[in-house]
Amino acid sequence: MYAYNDFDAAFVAERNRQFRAQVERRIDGSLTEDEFKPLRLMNGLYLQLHAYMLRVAIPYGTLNSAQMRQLAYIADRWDKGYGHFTTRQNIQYNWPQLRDVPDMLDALAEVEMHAIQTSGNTIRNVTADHFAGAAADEIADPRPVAELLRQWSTDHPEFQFLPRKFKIAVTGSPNDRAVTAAHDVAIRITEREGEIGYAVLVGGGLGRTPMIGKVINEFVPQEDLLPYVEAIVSVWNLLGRRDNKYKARIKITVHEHGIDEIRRLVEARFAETKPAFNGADLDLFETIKAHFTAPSFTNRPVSAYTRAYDNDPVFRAWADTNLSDHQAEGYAIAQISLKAHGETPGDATADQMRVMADIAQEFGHDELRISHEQNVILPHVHKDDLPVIHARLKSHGLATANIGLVSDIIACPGMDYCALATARSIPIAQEIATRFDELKIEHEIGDLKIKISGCINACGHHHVGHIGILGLDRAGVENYQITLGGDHTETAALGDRTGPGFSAEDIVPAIERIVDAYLDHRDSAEETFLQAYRRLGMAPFKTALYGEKADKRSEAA
Amino acid sequence: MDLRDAELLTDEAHAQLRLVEASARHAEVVGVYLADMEPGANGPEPTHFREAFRRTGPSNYAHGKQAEL
Ligand code: HEM
Ligand code: SF4
Repeated sequence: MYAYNDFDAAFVAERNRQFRAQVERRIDGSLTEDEFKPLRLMNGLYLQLHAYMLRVAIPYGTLNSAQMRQLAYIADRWDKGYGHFTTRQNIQYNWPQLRDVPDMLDALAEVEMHAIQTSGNTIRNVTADHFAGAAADEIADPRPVAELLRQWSTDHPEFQFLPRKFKIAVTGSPNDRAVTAAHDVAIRITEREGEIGYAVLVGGGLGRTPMIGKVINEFVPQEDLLPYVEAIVSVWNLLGRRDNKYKARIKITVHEHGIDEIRRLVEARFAETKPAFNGADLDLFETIKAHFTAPSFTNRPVSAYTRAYDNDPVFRAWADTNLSDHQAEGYAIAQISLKAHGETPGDATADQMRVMADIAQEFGHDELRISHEQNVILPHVHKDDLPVIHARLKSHGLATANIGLVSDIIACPGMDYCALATARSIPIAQEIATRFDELKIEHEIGDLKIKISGCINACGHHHVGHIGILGLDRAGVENYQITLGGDHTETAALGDRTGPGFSAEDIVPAIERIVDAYLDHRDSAEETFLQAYRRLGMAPFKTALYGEKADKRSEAA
Repeated sequence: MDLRDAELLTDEAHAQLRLVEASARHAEVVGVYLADMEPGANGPEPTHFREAFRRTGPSNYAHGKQAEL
C-alpha cells in the first residue's frame, strides 16, 4: 500500500501545526465560531447534535494493521471507545473534545492518516472498490488511480473553493461495488484491444435531487486521465451554480446544460490542460503503482477449510454469505460484518478494531478494507486459515453471517447524531435486523439491500437500496418513506416511492409486509428481490403495504 | 445545567434579545437558537423530538447528557 514520502509527511505535519494554533485561538476566545468554522471544516471537524465529530479519511478504504490499531487507540484515548465507519470509506468519531482534536490529528499522522478534505467544498476522499487488488473479476487495481487522484486533488489550489463538494469513485471491475454511478465523477477501468483506459461518468449523485451519472467519455487513455478529470472539474468550477447550494452540484450543471454540451466544453478545456501536464503525472503514477504490488501468495492445501465447511454449520453459513472469490488460488476475500443484529450499523469498538488488526497481521498480508456498505474486509486470506479466523471473530461478536442479507443494512447516523437530520435511522435499522433475526428467514430471503437515510441528503444511499427508507419530519413526528427497486451496481437505478410514509412504530411491520409479498410472489428461491420487483412492478408491494385500495389512497396523498 | 431550572420565555421580543445575548458568549456556547418549549411538571419540555433527543443523547448508546444525569 502507499507509504508517505517526506513531502507528504511534512505537508500533513504543517497542516496539523496550523490547526493546533487555530484551536488554541478558538478556545482562548480570539476566534468566534463563525471565524473558526471554515478552519475546522478544512480539517474534517463537524459540529453535530451533542458534540463535535471528527471525520477521518480512509483513502480508497485501505488500512494496514498499524493504522487500524491507531484508530482503536484514538477511540479509547479521546473518544468513547468506538468509531463509526461510513458509506464514503471514512471513520467518524462522535465525541471528541475540541482541545483534544489536534492530538488526535497528530496520532493519525503517525500512521499516515489525516482528516483533510473530508469536508467543505473540495474534492473529497476518493473511494474505490473494497475488493481492489483481490477480486477475481478485476481488470486492474483501482487504488493506484485513486491514490494518483488523491495526490492531485489534495490542496489543489484551483479546487479549494469549488461550488460544492465533489466526490470521485473508482472501480477496476465490471461488477461495480463502489456505487460509482452515484458520484460526481465515476472512473471505471476498462480494456480496449489490450489497452487499459477509463470509462468516465459525470453528474451522478444522491441527495435531494438524485441522479445516475452519465457517460461523458467511453474511453480515456491512461495518460490522459488527470488532465481529463482536471478539465471536468474546472469546467464545473466556472459553470456551477454558486448562487444556490441546492443547485451547485455537478449533477445539476450536467442536467441544466446537457451532457453533450458539457462534453464539448470538457474537450475544449482538455485541449488546454493536456499540454500543461508534462508527464510528471505519468512518472508519479508508475511510482504509485509500485506501492500496490500484490502480496506473495502461497500455494497450500485447503483441507482445514473443507473439514470445517463440511462439519460446522455455523462456519458454513458464514462462509456462504461472507466470502467472495479471490484472484489467487486457495484464497478468499472475507467480509467482517459490522451489522450484528440489533447493533449500530458500521460501529466497531476499539477492542474489535484491535482484533481485526491482529487477524489482518497474522493471516491477511496486513491488509484491511472498509466498504461503503459499512463492513470491514480481509482482502487476502488463505482458505485454510478461515476456520481459525472465524473462531476468533466469533468470540468478539464479529462473525455475523449476513453480508448482503436483509440485516446488512446501511444506515446514516440520523437524528441520533446528525444536526441536519429530520428523523432517526439507527433505531430503525436495529429493529429491522432484530425482527428478521427473530423470524429466522434472512437466508431464505437472500440478497436484499436495505438502506436508510435520516434526511434527504441521502448519506445512507436510500435511493439505490433495493428497499430504501427515508426518515422525514411530518408535522413534528418522525415519518418514513419507502422506495423500492433501487440498485447501486453497474446497472444503477433509483428506487420508486411506494406512496405515503409510515410512522416509527409502523415502519418495521411495513418492511415485513414487503418482504412477505416478495416471498409469496417470487417464481423461485433463485429470483432475488430486485429481479422480482423488476418483473412484477410496484403493484403487489403497494397492495401489501396499503391494502387493495392502494392506488386510490396514494393518489389522494 | 438542568432543564428544570430553565426559564421559559413567552415574549418573542424578549426571546430575540436573549438570543443575541447568548450568541455573544461565543467562548462558552456554539450554535445557539431558540427552541419551542411548553411548561411541564419538571420544568420546560421540548415540543419537538429533535430537542428532546438533544436533551438526552443518542438512542443507540447511553452517551451524552443522559449519561451525566
Ligand atoms: C454530521 C454528519 C454529516 C453531515 C453534516 C452530512 C452532510 C451531508 C450533506 C449536506 C449531503 C448532501 C450534499 C449535496 O447533495 O449537496 C450529504 C450527502 C452524502 N453524505 Fe453526508 N453528512 C454527514 C454524515 C455522513 C455519513 C455518516 C455518511 C456515511 C454513512 C455520509 C455520506 C454521504 C453520502 C454517501 C452522501 C450522498 C452522496 C451525494 O451527495 O451525492 N455522510 N451529506
Ligand atoms: S442523510 Fe441526513 S441525517 Fe443522515 S447523515 Fe446525512 S445529513 Fe445526516
